[in-house]
Order: sequence, then structure tokens, then C-alpha cells
Amino acid sequence: VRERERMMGKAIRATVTRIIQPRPSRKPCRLVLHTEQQVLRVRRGTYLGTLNGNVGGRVIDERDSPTGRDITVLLEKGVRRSVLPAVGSTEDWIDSDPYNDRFQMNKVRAALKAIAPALAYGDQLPAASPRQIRGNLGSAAARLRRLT
Amino acid sequence: MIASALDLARAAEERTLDLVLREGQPLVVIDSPPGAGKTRLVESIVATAVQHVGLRVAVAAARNEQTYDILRRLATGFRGMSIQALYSRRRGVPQEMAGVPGIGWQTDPRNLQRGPGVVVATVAKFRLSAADLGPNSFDLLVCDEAYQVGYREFHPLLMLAPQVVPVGDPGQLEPLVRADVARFEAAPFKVHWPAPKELLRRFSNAPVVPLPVSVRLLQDTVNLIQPSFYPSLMFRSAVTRAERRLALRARGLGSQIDRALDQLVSGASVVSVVLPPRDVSGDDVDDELAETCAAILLRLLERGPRWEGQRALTAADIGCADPHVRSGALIRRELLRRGIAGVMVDTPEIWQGLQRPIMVVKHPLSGVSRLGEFPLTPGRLCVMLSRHQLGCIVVTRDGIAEALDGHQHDSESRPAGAENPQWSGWLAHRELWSRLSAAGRLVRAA
Repeated sequence: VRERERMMGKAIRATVTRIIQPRPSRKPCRLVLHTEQQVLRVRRGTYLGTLNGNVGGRVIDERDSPTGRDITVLLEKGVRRSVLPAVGSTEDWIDSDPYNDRFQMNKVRAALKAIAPALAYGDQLPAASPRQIRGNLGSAAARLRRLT
Repeated sequence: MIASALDLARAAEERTLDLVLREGQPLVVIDSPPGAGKTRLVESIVATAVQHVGLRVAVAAARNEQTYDILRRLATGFRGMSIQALYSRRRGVPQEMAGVPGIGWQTDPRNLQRGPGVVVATVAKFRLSAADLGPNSFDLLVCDEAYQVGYREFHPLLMLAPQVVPVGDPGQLEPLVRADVARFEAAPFKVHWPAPKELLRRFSNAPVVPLPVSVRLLQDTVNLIQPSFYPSLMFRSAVTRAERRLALRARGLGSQIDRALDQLVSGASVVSVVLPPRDVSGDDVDDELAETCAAILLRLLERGPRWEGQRALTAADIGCADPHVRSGALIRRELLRRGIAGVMVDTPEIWQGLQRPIMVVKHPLSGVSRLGEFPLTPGRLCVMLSRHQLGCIVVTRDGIAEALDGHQHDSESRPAGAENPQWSGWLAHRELWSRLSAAGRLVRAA
């Protein structure tokens, strides 16, 4: 199963090649991971974590290297020396589960229903609310630009 | 031609500002072709609304990178505007943005400053914060790249402001929905549609401002993609051939790749390199096609490309788009093997909003004998064919015309009002391929 995940780029077999941590066991901590895996679905901003979930962070850089691809991860957890993977260690890194927003979205839906804005629930476009503004707005926009 | 095209663009901007700020229309949709200056228009709306009229404006975008771009442009392009970024605590402030002065960063919507100003965030962040922000906490909501946002995600944002301005490109890829949407086709709300499309379906009398010119694409490209992908959005190029000339220092040797490159030099902005037919179905990856893409990039760099009158082009000026992650990875490996670094290779989803002087793209119908929804989706090819400023080479297997002719459209029953994306995709592909063929742009092996 893991091999299939790797073939689809959903799991990454990577080796820690560098740890950039100015103060031991403290944030900020950046890991440079090297992978020779061809198929990757990793982008800047992707959350990557180890299988046991002890170490994880966001991808802040990814670039080609002569033998594969280097991925830099800014760790959000697992910066302590006892859990931090050592340079040279190889393991699988996977995407995290999606953020669970159910509680927050229930609050939003209740508020939305209570307010029932016309654009969200109405059948007719609400009436326009004109403003008294003098002059040409295109010229005003051009004047506001720093370069003009 | 340049002056009149820019006049048209200026008139569209003034019309937008009048509709939004002077007339106070509750919904104004801006339909834009590729490279029409959408973000510049968003900047103008925001700056005029905040600094000239004194409004509180929210700007939403589909992706974090898009919000960073808007923030950077507002902070560097305008003086004295209150600019705040609402962002996820889990993501943090990216290093390259931390140094941009004049931006207030907030994770909690309750800590945002009140009064005239602009707050920029992703649609997802505004959506999660909608209850905390409260109803009509802004005077105006502008959504950049709105056709990349599904109505389901956008719906809660409608409580944030009495005026909404979605700005986007209707020809690009629609938002990804990971569910069977058949049941929603007959529902009162098309939650799986792009937000502007659903808003216009419900409020067909809402004003729509089409942006009339593209400042990225040459007229030659516009002549190909406008009839194929934008049949109801007329636009033209605002740039001339003299401004967008590709020159190659070394002469070609008459090979298939050289002939395609020579066509780009002689004024054709889209050319196709056609390989012999081969059925590449299922999980197979077309390694020969990947090698050809890499060979084109290598040959282009070997011949010393120049943007005439501007600069010499390097690998970083060339992009490569492949609809599949796996075959894209193969192209990347081929490039590494040939010692070419710096060429961005990615899928059309990631290429949306980006541009390069030269693009090499893999046709989504290449090697596909049975056409399904994925390769036929018109937005995929549209994105790939509208990223270049000078020229684009489409790499494909022969047999596309035959595959399109032999395609049997499904005749399943559909709910009333449902759209058939395969049909619109088939029409777009057929139109484009017949235009390329008629213009002599298909370069086959001699």
C-alpha cells in the first residue's frame, strides 16, 4: 500500500540531509529532505509529517537537485532533540489529514441562516445603493498609484 | 492598435469603478480573458474604494500565493492605505512576505482594525472567520480568480458585505470537486459550480463587465483560443508582433524540432510537434513524448533564444505544462539527465495565474483513444495555451482529429439544466485542432 502511495506521490521516501536549527531543541527548525522519488505532489505550503505523527511541518521550498529533489520543511512540531530525525535517516513522509472545521462551520452556517443575506438566499438582486462621488474614478485610481 | 486597445482597457476599468462605487450595484461580475490585468483592476477597485471613497474592503483569493501577490502589489503600489492580512496560524507568515512593509498580519479576525482599509485573505480563511467577523463587516467584497472558487466555499462570504465583485477568467479550470455532483445538477443551488457562474445563473440581470484586451497574448494566439475556449467573450491582443519577437542566435538544421522553433521565430505563436500515433492508455506514461519535450527545451536553449529588443532567455524563462503529475515527473527527470535546471514543470492547475515567455505543453488528448472527461475538460488545455508571452509548442501524438471524430458522446439522461462538460470540451478541442491544422501549425516528422 505504501509503495502505491509513493508511486502516486502521496507518500515520500526521503532522507534528512540537513538540519538548520540555531538553538537546539527550539524553533525555528528547518529540515532539508532529499528524495529520488519521481512523482511528487508536494507544493510550498503542503504539510508533511512522519508516519508516527511526532514530527511535522510545512514545505517552504522545493527544488531540483542533481540526483532528485530537495524539499525544505519548516517544522511546527517535533523540534526537540529526542524526536528530531537525525541527518542521514530515511523514512516516509505523508500529507496530513485535512483540517477539521466542522465546529467553526456550524457556527458560520447558523449565522448565515439567521442573517439570510439577499445575495445568498434571495430570488431577486437587491436594489443598488448609489453614492455621490464626483469626478472620474478611473483618473482617481491612476492618481493613487505610486508610480503615476 | 496599441492606443485603442489600451483605451478599451481604460474604459472597462472606468465602467467597473462606476458600477461598483458610484452606482453601488450589489453584484458586478468581471469576466476576464488570460493576461487581461485582473489583479491590476482589483488594485484599482480597492485603492479607489478605500482611499477615494473611504470604504472597508475585503479581498478574497483562492490560494495563499494569490493573496501574497495582492498584498505585495497593494503595499508597494499605493501609499497610506491600511492593509491587513488575515491568515491561518497553522501556516504562519512566509519569510518573503515578512519583510514587506505596511502590512498588518492577524490570525484572529476579532483583532482586525476597523475603519477604511483593506483586509486580504483566502476564501477559506474568510469562510471560517465569517461568524466572528459578523454580517456586513465590510462595505465591499472583491474576489480575485473567482472562477477557481466553488460556490459552496463562496456562499458564507456573501454575509460579509452588501456588495460583491467576483473577478475571474471563465475559460480556466473549474474548482476541483471530489464528489459525484450528479445529484446537485438539479438542485436549487449549484454548489459545485464556480461562484460567479452560479451567481449569474441566479441573478441573470447582474451587470457583467468583460475585459476587452489581453496584454499577455499575441493576436495570433488570441485568434486560436478565443473562438475555441471563449466563444462568448470577445477580446483582442494589446501587444504588437514587434514587441513580442522571439529570435534564435543559431540556425536550425531542418529537424522536426528545429522546424517548429523556426515557425515560432517566423511569427506563429502556437505550433504543435506531432509524433507518430501510439495508444497510451491506463497508467502507462509516454516516455518518448517526455523525451521529446525535454529535447525541445534543450534545443531551444542550444540555439540561443532572445526576446528581441529585451533580453536573452534562460531556462527560467521557459515553462513546461503536463496534465499528469506522473508524466510531468518523467519530463523533469529527462531535463535533469540532460543537465537543464530551472525550468518549471507542473500541471495546469498550478500554472493558473503564471506566465513565461516560452511554454512547452503536452496536449491532454495525446495518445488517448477513448476520450473521457479529464482530457476533454476545456479549461485544462486553455490554461496551458494561455501562459506564453512569445510562443508555445504543443507536443502530442498524431490521431487527435481521428479520436475527436470517433468520439461517441454519452447519451445518459441528465437533469434539466445540467451541463455536459464533455460536450463543451469536445467542441473546444475540435475548434482548436482544426484551426491549428488549417494554419499549417502541425509539424510532423519529415
